[in-house]
This record gives sequence, C-alpha cells and structure tokens, in this order.
Amino acid sequence: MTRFHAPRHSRTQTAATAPRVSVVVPLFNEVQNLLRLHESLSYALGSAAARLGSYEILFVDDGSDDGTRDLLRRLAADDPHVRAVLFRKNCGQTAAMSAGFEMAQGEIVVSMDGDLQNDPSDIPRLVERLEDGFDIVCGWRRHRQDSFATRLLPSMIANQLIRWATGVPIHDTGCSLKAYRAWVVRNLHLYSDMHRFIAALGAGLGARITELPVRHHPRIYGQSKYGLGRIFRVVIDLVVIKMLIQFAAHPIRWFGMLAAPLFLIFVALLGVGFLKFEEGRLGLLWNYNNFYVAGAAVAALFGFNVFLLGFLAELQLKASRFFRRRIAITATEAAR
Amino acid sequence: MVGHTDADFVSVVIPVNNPSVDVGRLVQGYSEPLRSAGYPFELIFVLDGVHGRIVEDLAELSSEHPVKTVRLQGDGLGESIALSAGVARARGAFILNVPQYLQVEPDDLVKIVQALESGADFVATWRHPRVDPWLNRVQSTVFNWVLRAVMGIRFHDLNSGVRGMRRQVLEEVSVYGEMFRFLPVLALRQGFNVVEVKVRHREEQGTLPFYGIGVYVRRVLDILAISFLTRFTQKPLRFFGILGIIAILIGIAVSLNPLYERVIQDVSIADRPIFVLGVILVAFGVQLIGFGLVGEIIIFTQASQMRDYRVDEVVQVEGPQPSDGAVADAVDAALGRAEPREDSPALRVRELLPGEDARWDAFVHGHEHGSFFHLSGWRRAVEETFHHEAHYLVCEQGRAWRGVLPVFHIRSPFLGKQMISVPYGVYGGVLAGDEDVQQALIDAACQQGRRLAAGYLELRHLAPRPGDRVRFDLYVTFRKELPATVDEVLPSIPKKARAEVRRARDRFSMTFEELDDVSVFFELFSEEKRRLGTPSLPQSWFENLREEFGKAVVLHVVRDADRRPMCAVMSFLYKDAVYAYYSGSSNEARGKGVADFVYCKIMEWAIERGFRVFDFGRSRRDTGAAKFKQNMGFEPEPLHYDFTLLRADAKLPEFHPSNPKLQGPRRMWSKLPKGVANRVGARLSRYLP
Repeated sequence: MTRFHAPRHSRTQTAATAPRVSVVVPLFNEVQNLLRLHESLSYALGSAAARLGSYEILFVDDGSDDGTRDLLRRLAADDPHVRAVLFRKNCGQTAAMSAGFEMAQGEIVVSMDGDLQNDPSDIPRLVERLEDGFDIVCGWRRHRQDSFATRLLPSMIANQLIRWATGVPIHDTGCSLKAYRAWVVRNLHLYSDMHRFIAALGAGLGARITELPVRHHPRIYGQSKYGLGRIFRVVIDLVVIKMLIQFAAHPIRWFGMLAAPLFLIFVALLGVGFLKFEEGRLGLLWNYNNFYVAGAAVAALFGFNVFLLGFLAELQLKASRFFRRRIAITATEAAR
Repeated sequence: MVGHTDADFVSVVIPVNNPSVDVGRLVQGYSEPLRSAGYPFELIFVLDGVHGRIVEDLAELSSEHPVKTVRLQGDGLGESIALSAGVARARGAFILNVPQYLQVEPDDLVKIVQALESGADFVATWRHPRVDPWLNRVQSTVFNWVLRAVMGIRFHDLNSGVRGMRRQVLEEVSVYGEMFRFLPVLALRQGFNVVEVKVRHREEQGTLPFYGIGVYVRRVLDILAISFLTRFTQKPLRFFGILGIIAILIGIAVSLNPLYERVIQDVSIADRPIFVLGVILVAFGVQLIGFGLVGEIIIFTQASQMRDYRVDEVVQVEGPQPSDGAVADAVDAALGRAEPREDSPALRVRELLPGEDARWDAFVHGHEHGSFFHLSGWRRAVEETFHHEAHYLVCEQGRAWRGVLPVFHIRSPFLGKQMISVPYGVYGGVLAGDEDVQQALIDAACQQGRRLAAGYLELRHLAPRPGDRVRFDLYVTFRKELPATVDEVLPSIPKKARAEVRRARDRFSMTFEELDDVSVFFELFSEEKRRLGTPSLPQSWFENLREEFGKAVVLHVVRDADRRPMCAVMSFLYKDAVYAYYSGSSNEARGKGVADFVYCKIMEWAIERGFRVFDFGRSRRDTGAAKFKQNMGFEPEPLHYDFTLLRADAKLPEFHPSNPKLQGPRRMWSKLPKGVANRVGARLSRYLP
C-alpha cells in the first residue's frame, strides 16, 4: 500500500490536542491589516468554537519587508492559536498557501486572503457546508467590491475560461476563501500559480466541490498585489491545466492534437507541390517545386517529433507512478 | 563531527589544488589579521588531489597554528566539493572561503567578518582597484555585465575568490561543478542577505597570467542554466510557450507574403527560400510548445517532492493548545465584558472596519438592548438595496469594545438630510455599557452628521436611555411574552379576535404554512401597501434580507381552500424573540379573519420552536393597525425615539402617513396601476426610511 504524506510538522501536538480547524492566511506586506484580521478571525472562530471545535491560525509571511514579520512574531508569541511561518524571501502566494497547507494540523483547512476583503464570519458557514458532505467549499464573491476595469473584467474573463477549460462549475475561482478537508490539501501539491485552479485540481482528486456566496469588502489599506499582466500567465496555465486534467492519463492524445496542424501543412504543401489543376482536371506535376516539398518535409519531421514527445510524456507518467498513487488516494477517501 | 559553534568563531576554508603553494606564507598571511582583530579562528586546508611535501608542511604548522587538513580522496574533484568538505569539518558559524594564493590584502578579511557580524548572511567581495593583466579585466567586466543583463543582479566582481558566509547558507544552497562562483547569486535568490565589500587587490605570483576565453564561455552558459532553473523550473510552458509562440508568429509572417503571391498573383515561389524558413519556424514553434508540455507533465508528476519556498522560522507558543476557558476569556476581552483595569485608556470612537462584522454581531448579541436591526447584516442588506451610506461607530477603550452605534446618512427629497439609527428598522440606537460611552457615540454621530450637513440625528430606541433629548412620540410598539405552551395561545387572545381566528379556520378553511418563495409574499405586500396609499419596498429588499440572514428570516403564508395565498408575513428571529415584521394581505382576504389567524398561528409556531417573546412591531398611535394589535391582546408600549437637532433651522420630520396634508397624495397613490405603483414605489421607498 502506498504511504501518503503525513503532516510533517506534527511534532509538538498529538491527535488529541490538534486543532480541528486550521485557517491558513498568506500575508505579504499587510502590516496595517494584520491586527484587525487577527482580531476578527479570533473573534469569528472563538465565538463559533462550540460548533467548529478548536482552531489554529497559520499566518504565512511571504517575505514582507514592512514590519509584518515583527508583528507576526509578537502575535504568535502572545496567542497560542497562532502559528507564524516566515519565509525568507517572497515566494509567491501559491507557495505561501502550500506551506500553510503542509503545516496545517486541523481536519478542516480554510484558506483566506490577508487583506480583510474576505470576512472571517463566513468561515463557520463554509465549514458547515463542508460538513454537509463536501470536500471543498469555494467562496463566491457575488458582490465584488473591486474596480471594474482592472479587477472585475479580467477576473470575469478568467473565470469563464477556467470554467470552460476545467469543466468545474465554480463561479469564482479567484476567491481565496475556501474550506477543504485535510486530505484534499495534503494531496494537492500546489506549485507555480496553481492556487487559481484548486477546484479543478481537487476535482482531479475526486473531491466533491460546491460553492457558497461569501461577503466581500472593499480594500481599505494597502495595495492590491495583482495587475492586468497576469492574464497571459493565466492563459498559459489554463492550457497546462486543461492538458493535465483531460489528457494527463493519455498525453499522447494531446500531443497528437498538437502535431495535427503540422501534418495538415505537410499534406497541403505536398498537394500544392506535386499536383496541378489544369482545364478542370487534376494532374501530377512532374517538374515539382523544390520549396514546397522541402517545406512539406520539414513539417512532417517536426510533426513526428511532436507526436513522439507524447511518448516521452507517457513514459514520465508511467515512471512516476502518479496515477497509481492518485487512484489509491481517491479510493481511500471515497470508501471513507 | 561538527562541534560546538561559537558565535564569532571564524573558519577559513582554503581549497588547495596546486602542490607548489607556499602554505607557510598563506598561514602567516591569513592568521595575522584575524589574530590581531581578536577573532577565534581556524584554517582548514582542503587538499584536492595534492600530495607530497605540502602535507608534511601542514602537519608541522598545525603544532603552532590552528590548522586543520582535509584530504579529499580522488583527483581534482573541484572547488565546489572542496568547499563543502571543508565546511563539513569547520566549527565556526562564519565561513571564509579564500583562494590558495593571497589574492587580496589579508587585512581586508577582517572587513568581511565584520560585515557578517553585523547581520549579512553572505559577503561577496569586489577587488578594487584591479591589478590583473588587462585581458583578464576585460573578460571579467564582460562576464559581470552579462550576468547583470541576464539575471538583473548587480555584482561587480563575481570572480573574486574571497567570500564570507554564514554556515547556514551552504546548508541550504547546494553547489556543484563551477556553481560555487555563483554563490552570491544563489544565496540572494534564496532570500539571504547578501552584501558586497570592497577589498584591495594584490598581485600574486601564484596565479596564471591569463584565463583562456573558454573559461568565460563556460561561465556564461552556467549563468543561463541557473537563470533558467531558478525562473522556469515550475512553469516550463511559460518559457517554452513564449518562445514557441514567437517562432510561430514570425514563421507565419515570413511565409504569408510568398504564399499570397503564389495563390493570388500566381507568382512561382520556386525562388523564395524564405517560405521554407517560415514553415521551419512554425514547425519549430509547435515543437517548443511540445517541449514545454512535456516539462509541465514532469513537474506535475513530481510536484509532491518539490517545495519552492524557504521557511525562515516558525513562531508558535510551545505547549498544549489552550482549553476552552481561555477561548472564553479571549472572547470576553474582545467584547468588553472583562472588567476595565484601573489605568484604563481613554474612550475612542471609530468606524467599524471590514472584517469586524462578526465581532459587531457578537457585541449586539451580548448587549441587553441589542436587536435584530442592530446586526451587521441589516447594514449590508440596506446598502445592497438602497445604497445609503452607513457609519457604524464603535467606542473602544484600549482593545476592548465599550459600545456601538449603527447609523446611516440618508438624503431624501421629502425629509432632507438626516442621520438615522437605523432606517427601515423599528429599533436601533446606541448600545453602550454606561452613559459616558453613550454620549461619546452620540457626539461622534452628531459630528459626523454636521459634517454631512444632516438636519437631525434620529435614534430609534426601544427602551429609554439616559440623557435629555427631544422625544418623538408618534409611534408605539407591541411586545408580549408568549404563553408557555401552544394550547394556551388561543385562550390568551381576547374573545372577539378569537372568534375571528376560528372563523378563518373553520368557515373559510384557511391553512397556514411556511413559505419559501419571496415573490408570493411580495405580491401580497405590495398589494396591501397600494391599498393603504404608501409606496412599497422593492422586492430586492426582501430577497436581500433573506440572503443576508438566511434561516433567521422566515416567511409564512395563509392560503384559502383553493390554495390561493391570502396573507403572508415575514418574520425575523433573533435571540428569544420573533419579530412579525412585514405583512401583506390580498384584497379578498378582508373580513375573513385572516390577519387574526395568521398571527395566532405564528405565535404557535414560535412557541413550538422555543421562542419566548412575540414582537408585533410598531404602529402609529390610534390607527387601525394599533387597534388591531390591541384587539389581539397586546398593550401599546411607548417607543423612545430620540432626536438631536444638528442645525439651527432643523425641525422634526412631518412626512409620515399621519400628516393630514398627505391624505390627497395617498389616495392618488392607491389609484395608480399596480405595475407603476410598484416600480415607482421601489424608487421612492429609498427616501422613506
């Protein structure tokens, strides 16, 4: 039987004292928001403790340089519910989230933004929804409080694209406020900018996904850390996700699709080079055109190359035993 | 093997691969400045494929000087491995890596150690001024320039053989091959604090006169490899994809012209090799994208083994998690229930910040006068529907909350500008522990109101509050304790109303049930409003309330024998009370006792669910509605609506349905067609809070 990742940082706590809900908050230069956030989080979680059980808050500092770190050290020293994970440098939101997920001890993990735009009082609702029998509950910022041109429009386009590509019917993939069962986050293995695709990746694991409208507040302190430039990256990532979700089991199909246009070019050039069309009859061109044929040969060569890359991909998948592990995970969780 | 490391112990690691090095001079040169600066130190010579006399020399020196020797098994393993082996034997927290000849003035070693001591993790050196042969200098300059261009990192002299670092750096940054040269770059990428220190260059006999060109070509390739690995390991398709797309676009652009001429103008492209180039570029681009995809698959399947972040430290309180008692204490402190200390800080009023809604609601919940209309959800529903400007004020003492006041700024053509706590609700006003806090909150609201040019501040208090303000005596409210059991409800209703209830139930076979569809309720609500000649609230208001409060908002409906809806009520559930708040009945329901029936049933429903208080809502004194409520056995209870006039010319509002001047417009309103009345009413109701 394959062994899965046990939480690596469970040294100080045993199962009996481990918190039930872990809230993971990536932070980057949020010194103005941090105290309020901590207060309202402690508040929302503390007052719902009867329903939610014990909790911990994992603040992951992504290499801030505005004093967030010092504040975090103080908070973590004062409040036993808080653990602060400090990155030495800025590694990106996905990395911060992934570090938080790895250190989370609760059986339920909640992720949220550190900029006070999410409302901590939504957490109990998300958890309740999770307990209705779901594995991931995504927040849906139904009434977003952001500027239209720079945030809403790109986000709408991105969400539409993501929905279309992944087939997971979630309205708002960009909302960080989500609740998960621990087994999901332990097996997600986020990297790069994958946090946008958590729902899709979770669906790949066989998680049951739903969404819940949550509140969204306008930003009051600090600067938004996104820009328009991420659209291109999102599109590239989307191609990857599409491939990984739909074709990961059979990458040769994907590479076949990629090679298909090259073969089309090959056939077309061959036709133009060798055939002539005279007086309504198709004839063979004996003094064929060198450049067409050369072009055709090139297209065919590269086409085969691309197609054969698919075998490399298959090889990699076989060698990594990726799907065997994944199927084992899904089967275990589905049987539970 | 690594013993105790002292805080300022310096380990000097000297990889040696040249057997003719004069180790005596090296030991002399390197130990002199460190000893005189007072640092404890050791010199570690790593012999990389070097044998013979040098070993004996070192053994001899070790009797007088702190010299250690590490002999690598093998031949010419390279500086990276030598460095790692040396550091493994080193006991210092600070590592100095120096070359096997005196490349810089030894005195400058002290500068490096000092930089490390003052907080740097890695110290790169810049030999300045250079005393190399000119060709070396040119090559070195070009190399550093390329580095800067490719990686965007500013180091003047990456080839310098002298570097200082904390032990930790080498534990995290793995070096192999020629990579030791890029240690400062790699350390910086890992987030270490890297500084550059100027050192004096020194002509030394041991060096080669010129480096070959090939050395630098290798180094540039190394840079590219590092740059690729650090930037695109996790996202191969971003790198290959952009290259591929560029290639495809160029390819298409290049081959378009020949293709166009061939197809349209029938010009032969036999002499147009550029067409083939275009095809090659397109095909090449597709292949690059293919590479990127293979890369993505590799990364995806290996993701479980990758961690692309560096945790500096984890801060947490050691020991077990606190018990629930501690949680309760924290909650108390946050709510202001904890006793204020002797040296308590001054009161401070501020506006509620986003993310504090949960705390606000908890405060309202904990306060004896806290009502449904004080909840933060009311604010969101009002903002969402009517777009009024909310100012929710919090009075803080230190970190503890001492009081709250929800207030809205409303601009209305009928009523002028005003501050209301709270609009559309019947109870509102200050929730505070004592009079000081209350006054601080009211003062802050007045100040806010004056700034916004509001005429008055209206506080819709249910219970009287201390202080002397203008009282507005138009409304009364009706509240009653519910009987203990369902069976006692009907007997508790006065005889006349009881007969009405029975009439609706028995003669008209009305049925009572919970309702899910807001539009059914709205239909009846707006019909009744039109009949009364007042604008109806918009349907979105009721929908928003439902969305905001969820199960705390319930709808009930009474249907007649044909299951047509006759009367519907929207009630709010909060604390131990049911607020039967909005109601509507159809024209046909008149004279059938439907109203008596529905409220009787709601009371029974509330008792079944454990509620103890029934709130019938406010009415104007001596109106039909007030009489109806009295007939149901409720006693009028005065409301303590307080007014504070904010301007000299401000006067109390006269725009309410009891004003005789409004009789005409009200009659006209009820003659309007339903569609118009609803649509216009939805707009008007915004101004009638």
